Amino acid sequence: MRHPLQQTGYKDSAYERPNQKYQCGWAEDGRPCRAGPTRKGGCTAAAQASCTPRKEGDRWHCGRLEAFGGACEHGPMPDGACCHPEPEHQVCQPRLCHRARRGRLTLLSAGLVLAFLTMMLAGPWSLAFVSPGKLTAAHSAIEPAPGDANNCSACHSAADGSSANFLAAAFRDPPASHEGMAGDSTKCVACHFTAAGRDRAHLMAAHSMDPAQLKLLAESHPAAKLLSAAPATGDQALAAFTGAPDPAALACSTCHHEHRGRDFALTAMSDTSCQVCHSGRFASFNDGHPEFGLVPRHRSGIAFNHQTHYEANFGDTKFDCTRCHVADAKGFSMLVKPFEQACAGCHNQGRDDHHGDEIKKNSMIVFQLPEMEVAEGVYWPKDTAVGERIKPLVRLLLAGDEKARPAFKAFTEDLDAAGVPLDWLPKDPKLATQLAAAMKRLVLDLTDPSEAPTRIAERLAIALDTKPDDPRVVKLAEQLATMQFPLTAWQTTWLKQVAADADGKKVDLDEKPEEPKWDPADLPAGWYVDPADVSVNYGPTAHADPLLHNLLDLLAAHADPTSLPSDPKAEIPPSKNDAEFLARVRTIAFQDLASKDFGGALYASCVRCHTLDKVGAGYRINWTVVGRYPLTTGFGKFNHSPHMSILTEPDNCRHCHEIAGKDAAPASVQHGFVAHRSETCAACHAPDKAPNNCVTCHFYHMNRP
Amino acid sequence: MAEPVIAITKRRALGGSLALVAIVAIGVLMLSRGLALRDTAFFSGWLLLLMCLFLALYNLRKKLTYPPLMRSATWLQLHVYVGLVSIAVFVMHSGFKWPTGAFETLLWLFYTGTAASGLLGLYITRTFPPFLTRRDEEIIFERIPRLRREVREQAEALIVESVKQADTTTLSDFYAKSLATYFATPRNYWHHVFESRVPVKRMCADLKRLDRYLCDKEKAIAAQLDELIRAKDNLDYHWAVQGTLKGWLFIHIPLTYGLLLFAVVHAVLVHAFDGSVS
Repeated sequence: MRHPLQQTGYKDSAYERPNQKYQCGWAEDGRPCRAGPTRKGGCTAAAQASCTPRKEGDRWHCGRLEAFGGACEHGPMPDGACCHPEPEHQVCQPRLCHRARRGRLTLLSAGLVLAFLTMMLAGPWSLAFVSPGKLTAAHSAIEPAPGDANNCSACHSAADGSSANFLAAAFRDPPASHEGMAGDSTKCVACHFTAAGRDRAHLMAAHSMDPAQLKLLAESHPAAKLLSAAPATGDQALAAFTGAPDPAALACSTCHHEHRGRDFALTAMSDTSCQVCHSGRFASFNDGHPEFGLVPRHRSGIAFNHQTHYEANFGDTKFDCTRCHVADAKGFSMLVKPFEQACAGCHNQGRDDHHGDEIKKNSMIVFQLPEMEVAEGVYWPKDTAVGERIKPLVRLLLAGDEKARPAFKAFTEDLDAAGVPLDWLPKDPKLATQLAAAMKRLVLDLTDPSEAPTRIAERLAIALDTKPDDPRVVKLAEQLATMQFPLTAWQTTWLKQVAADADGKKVDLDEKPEEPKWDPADLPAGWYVDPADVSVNYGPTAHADPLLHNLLDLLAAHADPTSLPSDPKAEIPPSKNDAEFLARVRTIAFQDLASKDFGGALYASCVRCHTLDKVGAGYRINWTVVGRYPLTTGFGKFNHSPHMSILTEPDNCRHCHEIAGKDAAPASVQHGFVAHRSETCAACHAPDKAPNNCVTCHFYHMNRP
Repeated sequence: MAEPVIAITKRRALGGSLALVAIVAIGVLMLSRGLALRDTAFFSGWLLLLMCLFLALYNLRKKLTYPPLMRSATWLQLHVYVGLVSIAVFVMHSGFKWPTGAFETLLWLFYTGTAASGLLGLYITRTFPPFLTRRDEEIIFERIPRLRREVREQAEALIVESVKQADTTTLSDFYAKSLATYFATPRNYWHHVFESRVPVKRMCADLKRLDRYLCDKEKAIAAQLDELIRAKDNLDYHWAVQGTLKGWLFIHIPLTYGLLLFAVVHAVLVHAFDGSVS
């Protein structure tokens, strides 16, 4: 049977006041007073008990309200005073209602949180407290050891100074940027780009490149023409919806997110992120990636044609890649072995060897008297002065003779004359006589046993626009001074009276040359005198001949192609001043020695393999092989080590490096190889197989940390 | 003029759809910004903070009777659906990973606690009220202590009466041993929250097993005692369920203010330590 607990009726039902702040203290015990406490939480038990009796006729009646329990049993005193019966309830301690208690709890908890935050943010542990997590392993050294002071300021300018500084930092502009870097990127760069020679001007630009250069590169990239500007995947469409970030707002933290744990991939990047900026888009490496043949290839610095070596010298069975290449310590790159191991077997053999003799075979005529008509009565050996031109090194040394320069300059810049300036001889006897005097002075300088190095250094310094004590000039002068022995032999045979002539003594103008008396074996290595053309020559003694190496290096560094017209066949206008004249002399001297176009004497010996680069105003000869990894520039990367296992035969690199056939179009061949085929890579680098994302094979930073 | 009433199923479908659309839109925008190397943390962070502030305003709105800023019921609906959207934004903002630093862990716990208590509140406010109407007598929460006392006093009176009439202590011993504590305080909170009637049935069964030792007079009193046990059980049920309906806010609201404090400090910190261009 259901037992009804609640009675209804205004007298039977208690009047609940759940919205009031205080409740009767006896409510929990199940016997709350009828009126409840006051608004401020005061107990009304005493007030409920007493009353103001009312008089009706001659009787006093209790005046207690029904709400307080109604009339008391005893009634008022005879004199009309309240009898003050015991209150229905004892005085209680009113309690807060549910809602008020919740409010108090909320205030208390908020206060505690605020106090906790204040304590944590104001204390010395504040920065450790707010640190969002551990740094990656690469940066873990920045983290302080437990107990040590924090060094958050290594990366965050907000952490500089007092512990409260970072609160203020939120409301002020980021630190002033410099070198194109924004905010705290400056701190990153302070560690990552400290190496000398790094271009810091465009570190924060896309690809860390000069935006103008990047634009040119993008526009000229052949792959750009093949790719669609339309998004190729859903992700690309999504990214295009937002669009590329503002280049001015790029910071290191745009891509590199720290405080995500030791193992976080700080350099990870999605393919879609790459293609947000790249206007030419494709779906993936396996779907739309341009063929490698269209991508500019890396230059090693050494000109070597694998195709001709393969076909002409080795063939299929003998072409062993490991003959010339060896993996570096980490296996990243296949390095080129030193000349002595890779090339010397064929290219460093004797002068008369049937094969690979060019290094020694191609000697250079250093000194030879030119054939010209001098004035009557001038001492000049007409029978033995048979040179068709003034040799490059002699021109250089003559340019360094201040006395000879006016005449030298006058006839070399006579535009009415036939021939190429600096490459013809004066027809005017007066100028020819002056040139003859200059050459005789040069012979005396070069054959002076004690002063030759100094004189040569002085002449070179003037011609090269440098100082005589320049170490490289001094070194070359000492090397060239070894010429005094063959030149003395030459002089004592064909220009015997040069010293007397210089002293103003009367000489025999019809002197007959002596029979050669020197023993070639007595001459310094590399030097020899050729009676056939009455010249002093120098031939490389071996690979990396020090004299030629130094001579070419010095000339390359001081050559100035801008002093000449860009078209080699164009007429050269008169030089504006001596400085320009000297620049032309040394530039043409360098070209005469090193340039294939000018038939350079040392081209075949040196520059044919050691390629030439224009650097700044001069040249640079690539004496050493530039390694492939890590590259100092470029977007591509490749690690040979993990790929070696896929070779079908040991050391058969032709699985990827395919040597061009005879019929291959020259435009599709580089270094004797046809372009790598992307399908070779795509066989493994595909979805669910080896990684095929952009950063697997490409660097982002042209100027890398 | 009365506001148009929308059927609850239709309203839930509409609100749920809008919330879903909002979540998808924010997710797509976040994904798009992330793929495009644009900021996602500040975008989602500020969105989340604004949502939290809006959610906290509901508590303020309930305290205000003026100005008339929509009905409280409308605010509640907005509170529920914006709260659900905020959970999705929070997950996106935190990058689907656990926090690591001390501050961020606390912030994460505050948000998770607030959201979890909110979801719990949403569940119980949608499921508990119908239960209250289905079970015996509906009772006002504030009256329960007084009614509990009355039931206890009636039970004690019945026990005294049984001793007087039957001159045996079988019922009084049983009362002292098993029922005194039951009538004295609220009991079996978790059983009632999970709608279990096992305790009361066990207690009534125990009382029934005494019948073989009772005389007729005692049996009549035992029948009344059984009725009081069930009445007390109903009181305890209402106490537990209604108390839970009120009690979850003791967790949700304090956590909300703690969360707001942490969130504001978090916003200050990330702007201070961002270090990139503004």
